[in-house]
Amino acid sequence: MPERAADVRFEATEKSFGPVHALHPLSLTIEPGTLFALLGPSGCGKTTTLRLVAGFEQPSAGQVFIAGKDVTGLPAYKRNFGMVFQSFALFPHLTVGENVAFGLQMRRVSRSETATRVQRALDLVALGRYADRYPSELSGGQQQRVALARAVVFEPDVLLLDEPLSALDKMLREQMQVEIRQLQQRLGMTTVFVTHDQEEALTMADRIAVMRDGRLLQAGAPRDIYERPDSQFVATFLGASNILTATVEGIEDGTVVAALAGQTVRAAAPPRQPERGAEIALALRPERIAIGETGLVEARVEDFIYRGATVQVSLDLAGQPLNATLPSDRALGLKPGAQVRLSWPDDALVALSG
Amino acid sequence: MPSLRLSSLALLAPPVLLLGVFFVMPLCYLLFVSFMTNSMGDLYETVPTLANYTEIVSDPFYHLIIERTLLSTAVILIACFLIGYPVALYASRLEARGRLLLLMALMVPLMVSNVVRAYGWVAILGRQGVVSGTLNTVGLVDRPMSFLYDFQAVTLGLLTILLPFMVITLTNSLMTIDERYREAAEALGAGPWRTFLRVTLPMSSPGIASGLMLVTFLTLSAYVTVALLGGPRYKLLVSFVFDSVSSFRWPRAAALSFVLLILALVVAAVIQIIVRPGRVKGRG
Amino acid sequence: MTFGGVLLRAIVVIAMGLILGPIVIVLVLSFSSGNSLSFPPPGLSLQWFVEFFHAGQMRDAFLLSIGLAFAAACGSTLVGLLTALYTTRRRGILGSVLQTLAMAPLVFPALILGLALLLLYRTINMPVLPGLFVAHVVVCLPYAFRAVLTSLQSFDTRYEEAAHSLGAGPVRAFMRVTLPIIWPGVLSGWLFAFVVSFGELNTALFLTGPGVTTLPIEIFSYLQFQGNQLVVAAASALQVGVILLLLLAAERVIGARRIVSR
Repeated sequence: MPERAADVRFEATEKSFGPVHALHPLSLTIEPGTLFALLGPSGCGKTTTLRLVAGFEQPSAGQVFIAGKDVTGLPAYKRNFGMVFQSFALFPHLTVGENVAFGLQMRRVSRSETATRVQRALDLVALGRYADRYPSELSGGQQQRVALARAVVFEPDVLLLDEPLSALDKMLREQMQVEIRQLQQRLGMTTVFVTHDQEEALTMADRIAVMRDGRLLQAGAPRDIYERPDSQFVATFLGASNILTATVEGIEDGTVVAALAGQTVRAAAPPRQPERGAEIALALRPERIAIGETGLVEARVEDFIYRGATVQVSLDLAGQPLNATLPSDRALGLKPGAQVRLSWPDDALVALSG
Repeated sequence: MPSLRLSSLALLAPPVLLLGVFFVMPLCYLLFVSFMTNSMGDLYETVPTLANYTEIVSDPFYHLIIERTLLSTAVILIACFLIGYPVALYASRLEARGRLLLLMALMVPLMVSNVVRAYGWVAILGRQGVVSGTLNTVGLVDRPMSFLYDFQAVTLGLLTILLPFMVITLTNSLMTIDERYREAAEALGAGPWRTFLRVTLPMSSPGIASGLMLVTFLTLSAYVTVALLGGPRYKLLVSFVFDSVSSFRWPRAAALSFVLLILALVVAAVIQIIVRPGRVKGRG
Repeated sequence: MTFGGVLLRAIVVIAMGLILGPIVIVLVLSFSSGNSLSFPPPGLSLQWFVEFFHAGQMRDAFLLSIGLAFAAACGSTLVGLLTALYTTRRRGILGSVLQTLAMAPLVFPALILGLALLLLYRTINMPVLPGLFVAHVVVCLPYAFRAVLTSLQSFDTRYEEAAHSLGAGPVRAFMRVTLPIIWPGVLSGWLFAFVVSFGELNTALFLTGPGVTTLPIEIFSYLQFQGNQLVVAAASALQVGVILLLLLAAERVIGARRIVSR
């Protein structure tokens, strides 16, 4: 299939249902060819955002653009997108082949071309021999692949995935994450998917937008978001994170200098610069902390939780609770009540703006 | 299974006795009687015969009646579908409160005895009825006119009496179709019409089939409605079951009953073939 | 609104008119002060209701119908409850056969069942009233059975097991725990059965006898043999009235949603 990528753009798009603001004004561009994740807890507005792209909802204000074209007000069937639904929504009265052919028939593609393209799409998802089966005769993973084939066969501008893996069990889910990722790369199709699973978003996406209460909190590459969260919510929603309180002493070219447990530490500065003397929240990932005889700050060991490959150590840092995750062999010899010193790489500490 | 349960036998005995003795057994007996000889004094004469059936099958008069019965059933089924489907579609798209009201408005007539509803049509179409009276008052006709006792009256009456069954069955069936299937069709580029024809309509086929079959069975056995609106002039097969009883020809009545049942099963089979409700479960 | 939307609404209005119109006309005519079917009636009066209660046969049929419906509803609800208990607790072939059989009278032509029962009754010399009662229990059974079955299917048997663990025997566990929880289903089953019996025509057509007539049959024979008088409208209005009253009570007790969603 030829590569064809379109961008998706929101311009001050908002949506309210009666008094409820499902989506506060959102301005966001999804670049052509990216695999973009909308991530957040339920009720955060991610599904509404997806449905605004699809045209199942119309914005209360603002516009939506697909491939540079203003599609605001256009019904779903006049937009050119493919969609995989939460529990796939494969038509139960049609065979796998008929399901995949549906979108082509709606576009009045000739019969012979439809047949070849359906076959090619099914081959793409390794289900070439299943065209005559009914959806109910397939396993969950196979249904998922049929849904994908149905969504991409007519070469849509954008592919939308609404919690595409939530109907599958854990093992299958991890396998499909990789499969979807590979398929998307091969087709180069701009893809937007909705998920509440941070691991899924980190594994699959080129870019992630974290949402909460109808607002976009932070958007960026997975590594940026994970390593440089700019709010407490993002820091804790994506993986575990310690939140520590410190006092700002000054700002030096992009880093915050702060007092933490009587020591001066450096942290990556948030987008909004804090004032001198103000209290600030710092995020520190447990797996980046090292425990030893030397280090930046002193802490007391409180407790251990053995987790197989790793050990989670609960620490007390001058009255602030702190968790560290160590490889099991490194935790040997630690005892509750012991005084230890902690250290971490320079970029591990991140100052948060909220 | 936990052992502390109401004893099986105590649960089983009453329904089995009731249905065995007063449902299955009488029907078997009826079948038996249909192969006996008509008798003047007794219920039947214990002389096995096929005459009751062969007489019906070979009598051109009964051919006419069966033809007429099938025709009116077909017209009622088609009208029930064409009127009932839009109403059900409308009901299924209402918000919960409105739908509840509409379904209640359909439910109440179902509960009212058919004789009352048929009488309503007699009061409208009869010689001293509302239509005739209005036409007289307006001056369009100068004498009372009856619109009863013909094909139209019986069909209209049966249609309106049975329509709620169709609508309620269809609405329930339409309500079970997940919104996502319609959205999926739209996402694939199908407009409202094509979404309806390709997705909603086929996915509601189990409801269509069960609604139509219910209407079939009720149409074929609606003696009172046919008697009141068709009168002595327009009779359907079911009328002759009753007439045979009135003239004490029990074996004939029994045979006619089974002909009626076979007719109902044939119509039901035709409905299954046309509507194909099985395809929704993915069995083609 | 689109053309399609207008058309849809028009069909709904026409359909509802055709369904409700005849009933409304009967209700209005029953209050007529005139003595013909002319519509609208010249004035309003209760004379036809008075006449109804003076006509001994009609009044007796009305009372018999109410009593019969009450008894048949109780009978079919009881049998329906037992059947539902069996089919939900004991799966297997017998259970599914019983379930099919219990639902069969719903679609099986009642007229033919009536004829078959009449033949049986003639053969075994069954008295009229008990015969009619049994027939109505059979005809109403599917309605009662289905309502009880739905509520039993959503009943969590762990409640009953909890009662057993606390020392209640099967009967006490049922009476103290299960029945109070599935009560709305049982009640709505009873109401359905009552309504069906109260309007039932097709078996009663064969099974009523001299002095033992139900209201629908009385209305029918009146229309057939004595003509089209307005006392029939009053009888019909009473038939509708009892049902409306019952539905109103049902709405209070179990909610409209349960009545509609079967």
